[in-house]
Order: sequence, then C-alpha cells, then structure tokens
Amino acid sequence: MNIQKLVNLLIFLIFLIFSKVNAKAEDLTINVNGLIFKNPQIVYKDVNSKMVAGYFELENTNNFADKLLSVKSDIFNKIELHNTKMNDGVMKMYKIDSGINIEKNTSLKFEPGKYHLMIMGVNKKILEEEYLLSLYFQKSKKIDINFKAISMKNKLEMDHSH
Amino acid sequence: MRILKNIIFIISLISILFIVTSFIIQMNLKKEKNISLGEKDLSKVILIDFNNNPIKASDLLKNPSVFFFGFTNCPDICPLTLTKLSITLQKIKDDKNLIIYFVSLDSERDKPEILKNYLQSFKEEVIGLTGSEYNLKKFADYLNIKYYKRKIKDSYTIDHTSSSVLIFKGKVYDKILFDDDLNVSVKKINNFLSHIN
Repeated sequence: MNIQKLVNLLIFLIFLIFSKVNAKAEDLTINVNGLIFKNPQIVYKDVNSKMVAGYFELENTNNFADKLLSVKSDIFNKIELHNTKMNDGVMKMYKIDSGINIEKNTSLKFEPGKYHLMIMGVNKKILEEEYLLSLYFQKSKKIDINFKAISMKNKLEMDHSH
Repeated sequence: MRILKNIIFIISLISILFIVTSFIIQMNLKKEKNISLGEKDLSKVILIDFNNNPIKASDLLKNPSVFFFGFTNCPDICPLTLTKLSITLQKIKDDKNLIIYFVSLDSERDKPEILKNYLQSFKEEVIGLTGSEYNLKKFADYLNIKYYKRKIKDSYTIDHTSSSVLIFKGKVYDKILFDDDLNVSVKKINNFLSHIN
C-alpha cells in the first residue's frame, strides 16, 4: 500500500468516526436484541396536559418480523396505539387494537399525523424528564424504554433547527 | 344555391349556439369568482369567545386572522398546530395585529372556561371560540371546514380539516397545511400580510 492510499484510508476513517460522533450527539438510540429505538419522546402541549403523545422510530434489524402489541406504564392510566389518516384534508385518528407489524430489516416512524402512542390519564404535571414505558412485542416480549418528555414548542423548534 | 343556403344556416346556427354557450359559461365563471366570503350573510351567526363574549361571525372575518378548527380533546393535531401557529406569529416580521383563532367544534364539551384554560399556555396569542352546534356548523361550512363527530366506545372524537385558513376582509388568502413546517408557515403568513397591504 503506498502512502497516498494510506492517507486516503486515514481520512476515510476519521470521517467515519466523526459522523458516528455527530449521529450520537443528535439521536438517542437504544438497541434491544436487534430492535432499535431512536429518539423515544413524550410530547406535551403544556405541563398540565392530560393527554400527551409518544413518538419514536423503530428499526427491526432482526431477520424475523415482529409486532408491537401494546404499551403500558405505571405512571399513565392508559396508552393506546393510534394511527392518523388524511382523507380530503380531514384528519381521522383511530385506535389500533390488532398491533403494528414491523417487518424484518425495516423501520417504522411514530410521528405527528401518523402512527403515535396516545397517552391518556396524565394525573400529574409533566416535567422535562424521562418516563418509563413498557412496550410489548409478539416475539421480543416486554421491552422497557425511557421516553424523554419534551414540550411541543421545544420539539418544533428542535425539528426546525435540524 | 339551396345547399349553400342550408350550409350558411347551419353555420349561423352553430355560431349562435357557440356564442350563447360561451356567454353562459362566462356568466357562471364570473358568478363563481364573485362569491367571495364577505358577500355571504354571516351577521346572524353568533359565536362565543373564551371570555364568554358573543361575537358576530361577520366581524371576526374583517381583520387579518388565522382560523384553526379543532377540539381540546384532540391529542396531537390540534395542540401541534396551535403551537406551530404561536411560534410562527413570534417569527414573522410584522404581525400587523394578526389574530389566531381556535374554533372548537366540540360545543358539547368545550365550554368557554375549558377553552380558556386549554389556551392559557399560549399567553393570549390564541383566542378561543365556541358556539351552538348550529352556529358552528354555519361558520365552518362558510370557511369550507369539514368535520364529523365519530363515536368511539363510550365517548366520541371529531375528525376535522387539519389546515388553518388565512383570512382578511372575508376573503381566504391561503391555507397553512398540517405538514407545513415552521419555515413554510412563516413564508405563507409573510406573503399573506404583504398582499393585504
């Protein structure tokens, strides 16, 4: 290997390391047995909100499909899986009782106006801290994930600055 | 000669038909264009603001304003849209007294005091409106806002138009879509304000 090639390889490696560091700084990623949870967030309108939404990105790196069946928590009374569909400019939100499939080697985004967790019965003030939710999968069974609570204002500003 | 006369007659007839049809189409187009929101009578439609004051719907449409229709039990679409509008208002160059209205379509549950409490976090940037089912329907129809009450178990939800409407002097200038990010929203409002000068 000549010196030029070695330099190129070094530059490539440095670039790789830096891009990994940057990715870490921006995204919170949790890998549990091949299921990767990215930026799990609970988003609230204000600290007194009685109803909040949960968003995250889920990637299934396993070579088998799985299904998110339900989400539970000791802190919140009720958590439902929801989806929203737009028809002729009208948003229609509906509850999903049968679970959400996540095919092998695919990812799924829970985000405003699409799949989301609808968290009801919030009985105390929401603070910008982490809340533990238990996600139940058909194959991966129970997975506990900490969701970071963030105000809608901060989320919109954050999304805007990216 | 007779054949020529017939041909001329048929051509004349077709021409007359063409002119009459064009005239009718033109009249209809003109009529369509002239249906600006301000010309419809809304003075009998009364809404109630979150301070319990009655307001004529026709008065609401006079000033530069943004209208968003929803309900306080709406989990993410309504609070996200209101938050977005509130941030947008802070970012625009010159607000020219632009008013943001949140019209609740849930007259059964969203009483003025509930609306007031719900909108408290926006620090008076958003004015809450409600009213009787009849008046809300009239007002929503007028602005082409669609909504449907849907039963879910022992309760109900409301499916509704997710965009916000930019209005001045009874005329709809633009819409801010749910998917529009902050940049697009700011651009649309600035554009709207520059057009109403």
